[in-house]
Amino acid sequence: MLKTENAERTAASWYTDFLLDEAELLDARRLEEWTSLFADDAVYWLPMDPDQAAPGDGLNIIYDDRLRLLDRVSRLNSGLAFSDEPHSVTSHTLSPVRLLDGQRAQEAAGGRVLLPGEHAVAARCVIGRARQGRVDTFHARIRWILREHGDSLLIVMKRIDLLNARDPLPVLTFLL
Amino acid sequence: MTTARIRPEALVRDDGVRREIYRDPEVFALEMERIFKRTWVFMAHDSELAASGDYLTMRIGAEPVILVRGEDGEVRVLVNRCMHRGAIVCERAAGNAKSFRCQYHGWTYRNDGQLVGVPYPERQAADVRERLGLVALPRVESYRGLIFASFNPGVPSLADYLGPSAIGYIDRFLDQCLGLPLAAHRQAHRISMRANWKLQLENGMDGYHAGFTHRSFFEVMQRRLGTSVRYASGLPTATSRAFRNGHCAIDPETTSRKPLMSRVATLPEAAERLALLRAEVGDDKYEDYLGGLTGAGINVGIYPNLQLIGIHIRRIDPVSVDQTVVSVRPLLVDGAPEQVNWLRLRYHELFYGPAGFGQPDDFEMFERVEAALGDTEDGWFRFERGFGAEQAVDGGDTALGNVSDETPQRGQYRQWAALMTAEG
Repeated sequence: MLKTENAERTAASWYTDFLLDEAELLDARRLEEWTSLFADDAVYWLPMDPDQAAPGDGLNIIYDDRLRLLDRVSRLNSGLAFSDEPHSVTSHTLSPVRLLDGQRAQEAAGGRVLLPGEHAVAARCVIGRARQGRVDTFHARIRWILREHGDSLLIVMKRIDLLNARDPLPVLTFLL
Repeated sequence: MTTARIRPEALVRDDGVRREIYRDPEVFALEMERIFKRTWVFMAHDSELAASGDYLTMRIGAEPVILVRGEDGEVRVLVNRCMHRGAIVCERAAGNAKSFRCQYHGWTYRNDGQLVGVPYPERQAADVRERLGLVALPRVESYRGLIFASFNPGVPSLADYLGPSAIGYIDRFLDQCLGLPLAAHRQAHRISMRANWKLQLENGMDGYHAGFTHRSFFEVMQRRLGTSVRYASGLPTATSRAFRNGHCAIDPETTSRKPLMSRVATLPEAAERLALLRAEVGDDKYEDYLGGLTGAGINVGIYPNLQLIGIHIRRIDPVSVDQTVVSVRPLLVDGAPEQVNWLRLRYHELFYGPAGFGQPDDFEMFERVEAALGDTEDGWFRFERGFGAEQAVDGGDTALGNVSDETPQRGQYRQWAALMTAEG
């Protein structure tokens, strides 16, 4: 485990690099590669309520296990998900990534218990989505649970709290 | 309102409508007056206002209103506008309050509308409190928990307005899970679309589009399950129905819920949740609950703004001629095992909501219609499938067509024309 201050700084840049790579895959629309970042037991989650503790505690905009996430990507790549035909182009801008600890790390875990080798991180994100001559902008707080996996990481949980998740939303047929 | 330019009778015929009805702001303004202020409008489910003081704010057409349960238990609909200088008196979407205070000059109204507080009353006429309560809508009635209101004191009773055929379908919908009572979930998906409200009205009762608009959904399900989960479309026995007053339904006319039930296996945590359900209720009841948790398999439309589909209540809120907010609120089953309600929410999330696998593609079609609203060619939209081939049944209360016919839409536009062309 990484203990010293320098090592923590190194760890933070490790998470940051990983998450910037993730954003690059989304913005380059390399969606199948993007799904390979997720663990078999991963959850991709977009709740409507920022205080909701776990996906099963309320109605969600997205609650995907890994199979559903693969369905989502295959639908988007099928040419038949008409609300994203022609496709959106996205731009994810991340704030500096912060490591969460203690209570805040547990909250990020959506009701699971964090295991050794799993780390909770958070960032603010501005997502631009261009489609059919329009740009929509979404503001989000995103939290990830990342699991050490060889010399890389896997996403165990990605929780996206949209600034306006409780308001009427436009169609979100793209990946945040 | 001056609307001399609009001649609604020229905008509809028996098998079609003019494009103007989706894009002309004057048509929209007339609809808000002649449809939304003339007939019954759906508000909410009774369970959303369980306690005295519980309230919801919304609009009926252009009018902001508060739906509130008073201290006497009665549900009222109050115009959400101060009688003094016209500011909104209740800003929140939902809550609980004994009174509403206008923050402009501090006028305070009890939750039954009575004006009870006027700051510095000595400069005000003595009878101000008696004269200037919030305007209460003259009619509020409900059917099995579905609350409707009307600005029109002369509107027929809600039961007459709905009629026996639509009521039969509402009952089938509400009895969807072993006949147990349903209650509204506290959260609803709300989607904002850049399109006219009537496009959602038509589409919710459209048994023709699913195999095309939603093909990607059916392909995802087929790949996961190895079997088709298509439902009703194209079946010669499946029906569409137009009832009185623009109400309608589409009905697969089958007791088999298997194609819907099989989708449950694809939901997150389905295997463990279904095992828990089976262990709790036993093999005999398991299939009944599995069927019940996927809904009644029928779509019911109550003109002008309510649809009962899947496991949800859908309210269509027009905002402007090309802006609409659609709410889809899941219903939970009172007294059902926890797993049933847990899986109902997951089942709803599969297809519905801003990022569901089905509903967004409908909205895309509405926006494509909106994007194509030019004024060349002949300017008519066609609802002519099955036109002239309908049967009158239920003693004339129902026009019956095949599920892919445009029977429901023709019924909706008969009602549109009846309301829009009546003067006064």
